[in-house]
Amino acid sequence: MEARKSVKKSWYVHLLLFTGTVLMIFPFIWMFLSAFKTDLDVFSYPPKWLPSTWTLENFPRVLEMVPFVRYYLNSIVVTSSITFGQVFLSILAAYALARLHFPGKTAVTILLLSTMIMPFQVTLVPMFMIVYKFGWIDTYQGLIVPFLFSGFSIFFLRQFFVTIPKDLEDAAKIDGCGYFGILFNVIMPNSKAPIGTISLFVFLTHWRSYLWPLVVTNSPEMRTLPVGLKYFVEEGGTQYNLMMAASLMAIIPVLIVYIVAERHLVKSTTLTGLKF
Amino acid sequence: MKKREHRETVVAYVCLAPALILAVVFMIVPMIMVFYISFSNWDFVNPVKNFVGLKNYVYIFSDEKFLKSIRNTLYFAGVKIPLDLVISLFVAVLLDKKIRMKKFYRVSYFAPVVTPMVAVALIWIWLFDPTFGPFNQILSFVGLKPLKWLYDPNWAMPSVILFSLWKGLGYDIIIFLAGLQSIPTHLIEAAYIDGANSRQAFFKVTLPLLSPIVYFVVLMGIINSFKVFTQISVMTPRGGPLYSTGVMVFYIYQQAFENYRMGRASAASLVLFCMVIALTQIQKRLGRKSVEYS
Amino acid sequence: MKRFLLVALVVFLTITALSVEIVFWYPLSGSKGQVFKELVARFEKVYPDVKVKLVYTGKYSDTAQKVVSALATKSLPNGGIIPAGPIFTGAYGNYKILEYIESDSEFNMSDFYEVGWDYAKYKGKICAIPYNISTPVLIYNKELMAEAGLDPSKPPETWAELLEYAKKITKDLNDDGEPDVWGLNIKDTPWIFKAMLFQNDCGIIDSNTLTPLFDGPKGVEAATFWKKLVDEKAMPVGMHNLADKQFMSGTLGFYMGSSSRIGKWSGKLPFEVGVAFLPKMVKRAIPIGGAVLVLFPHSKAEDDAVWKLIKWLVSPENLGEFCIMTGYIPIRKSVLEVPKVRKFMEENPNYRVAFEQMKYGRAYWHFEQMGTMDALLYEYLDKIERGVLTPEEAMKEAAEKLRKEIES
Repeated sequence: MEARKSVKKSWYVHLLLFTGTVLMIFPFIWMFLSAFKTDLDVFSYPPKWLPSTWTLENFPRVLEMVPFVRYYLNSIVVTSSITFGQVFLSILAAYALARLHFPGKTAVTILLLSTMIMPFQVTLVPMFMIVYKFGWIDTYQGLIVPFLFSGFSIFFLRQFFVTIPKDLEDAAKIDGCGYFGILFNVIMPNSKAPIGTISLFVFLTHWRSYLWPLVVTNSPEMRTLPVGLKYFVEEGGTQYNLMMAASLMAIIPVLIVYIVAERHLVKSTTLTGLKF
Repeated sequence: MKKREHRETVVAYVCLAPALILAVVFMIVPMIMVFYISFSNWDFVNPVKNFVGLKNYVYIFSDEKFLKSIRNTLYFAGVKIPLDLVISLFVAVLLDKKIRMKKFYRVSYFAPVVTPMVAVALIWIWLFDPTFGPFNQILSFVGLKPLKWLYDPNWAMPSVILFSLWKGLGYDIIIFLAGLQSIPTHLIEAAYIDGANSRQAFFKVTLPLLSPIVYFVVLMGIINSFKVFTQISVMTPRGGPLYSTGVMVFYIYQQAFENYRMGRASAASLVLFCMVIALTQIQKRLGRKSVEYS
Repeated sequence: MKRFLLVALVVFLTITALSVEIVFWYPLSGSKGQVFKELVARFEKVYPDVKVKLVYTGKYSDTAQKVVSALATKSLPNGGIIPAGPIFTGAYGNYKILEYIESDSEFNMSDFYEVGWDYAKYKGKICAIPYNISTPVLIYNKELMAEAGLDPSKPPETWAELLEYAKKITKDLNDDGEPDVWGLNIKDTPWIFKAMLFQNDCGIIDSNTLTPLFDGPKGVEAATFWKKLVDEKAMPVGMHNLADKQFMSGTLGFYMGSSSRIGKWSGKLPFEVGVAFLPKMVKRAIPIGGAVLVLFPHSKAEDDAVWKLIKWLVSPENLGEFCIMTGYIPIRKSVLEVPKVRKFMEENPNYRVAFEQMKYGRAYWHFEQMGTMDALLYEYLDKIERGVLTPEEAMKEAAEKLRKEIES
């Protein structure tokens, strides 16, 4: 009796979940199919779901219209630099806040915390002006440096650094470790998981970042992937099949990384508890 | 001992220096500047910034577009957050059951979350196309009247919300799933022993225990809804028909980087900031109550 | 031999020593960019003493933003093809190019269409030279015209005819109450509306006093006709972004937009494409648009070099070549007499239309709030189409808002 009930139940659970899955995946399938459609297929009325002939033409056409590889490289350079720099600076700051005693700690904490309540969109205009005063418009510095600091990353790491037992630190001190020795030999090896999590999180946040690269770049050579895609639509994207080929090229690498690192990614999302 | 303390202070500030400098230059100073610029008529090229008093504030509050952008932002948040909450909780509860293919489902619901917003927005622009899009084809197939989606002032915002739901749902599902898995099973079993059916067990036991997570999801939902920009800018480049999708950040962007009216943009930014703070405060009050209650 | 080498060396050294390098910005991408680069490479061969560093600056709006940044940081190039150029030169007191135009006896100003000079003025004074100019044209699908029982060799001459023809083409294929084939769609609504205003003998803005003129009875008349186009289902409401897609898919009879589409579509779509003058209201008139050649003063030697380049680019032969290859409209009358261009026009009758239409060109002097005006026209045409405001209310409100922006 009980067993039959659960079978019946799981049948409708599957039905619901599967319907949902179809809805979630449909846009991707549409994109995939359409990236191989010819111009004629795209503008046939009523719309065709399957390409009448599969063509690979769209990809070289996109590459000819926009420097896609360049966008990719820019995104990789910018995102990696931000991730590496921000995590490194955050580790240093978090270490000071978590493990060291110094006058002015409360004041520093409040100052850093206050940066977390201000949405970046609010300070967009003055931030742009500052970057512009430095002569960093349309440069990698302009894309990277403002994001090397993140209050969130610092406090996220601080929470983990606080929990590392004092004994480990004392033992290292007896072995002759200084402050930085403790950081590199005790704190960091014991915080691999949170450091990995925050790195992944920072990477994903900035990989998709759009508004800032949009305002701070203006030559095509400096655009990152999301901004480049947007301009692709404006400049030549009257053809849907080319748009889909471009999105496919932008999405596939991310999807592969996601499917490979799925478990870590899901864990890090729940851990950081923040939308990106 | 004194010397050691002194050294510790030096080390601490050496560690903090880069972060502090960056925080001051790129966060604290801009915070002060946005306030200051909002009282000036700076146009970006001209180095002169004249003090104009409240003129920018008077302008934006009498600008039909700005008032509309506030309404649109509230509309976006007000529709998206509850829908998102109900659907993601429902899916999370289903996924929490002992079923097969769990990983497959989880991957597919989460896939839109990891993909770049602009790239998937491009796909949806086509899905929504009134003539060549599959959505209208499906609608007429099932005998419904086709819609103009992004080209109809009444449907443009719902279309953007539909897209945003699809994009963000997976994230909240994962959060709820983690929450559900952390609820001790014996509490729910106890409810069943007391004679509750599964619906009662959910509303009487599971949901109250989940309330901190619900609170968190709503809070993040509010903050993120007020910052919505990317999908608006990509899907409706001019803020939609009759400015029906022009949200606050979009208005700020237009004033600053299309019209070069930095003062107006800064004034609008400050209004946005006050609204986010006010809403999170209200939410905190309400949230505290419901958490205590559980 | 030795002596020859020595002389060659001396010549080479003098050329390098005397050669100047100039930085020149251009906003042309793809094949158009290629054409321009090749032209400049040829210039460098003719004038080995000038080195031109070309910088591609993205599309028009990016380029304008880049110029704004450069103005503020004082890092302007020596010159460039700049959209809204007069706003970045004349508006900052830079009329340097006019000095060259006036002092260079070889330069024949009167060979240029008067409208081109209007387009290159700020406060009534020339501060740029028109270069890559487009005009709006009427592009039509001959098959759809024939299907609707119209003669494809006789495109509409007037707006009234256009309305009548377009209504015949609009069709609802699947009976869902929503037309699937449309008679007319307009890509750039402010631009075409300005054409209508000019054609209705209505000014757009008084160039001297910067007073908007479109809220008078003639402007309202044009706006009312616009409303009629959507009311009678000749044109879809609001879906102007889709005009290109509709035309390419063969579901649009008449497309109104930039002449740059001629080359893109003629002979490349699965149906026959025709091109005609824009229909007229009380008279013919065409608002021109595009970008202009500008000079940002640096040193005398560099400015001279920029002038050399600009003068070379707009010489009838080179300009003709540029127009043939890119589809931009020649702004000099004598270009049409260049043999190569004549041959091209004979072989491409669709282009001939666009080239010849230039004589009806109209323009107003550049002013800072030009972009704002176009945005307002776009916004208020949308409101008219959707019936939110009557044409009269919309024109009054748009003009009022523009007046306020100009004052503040």
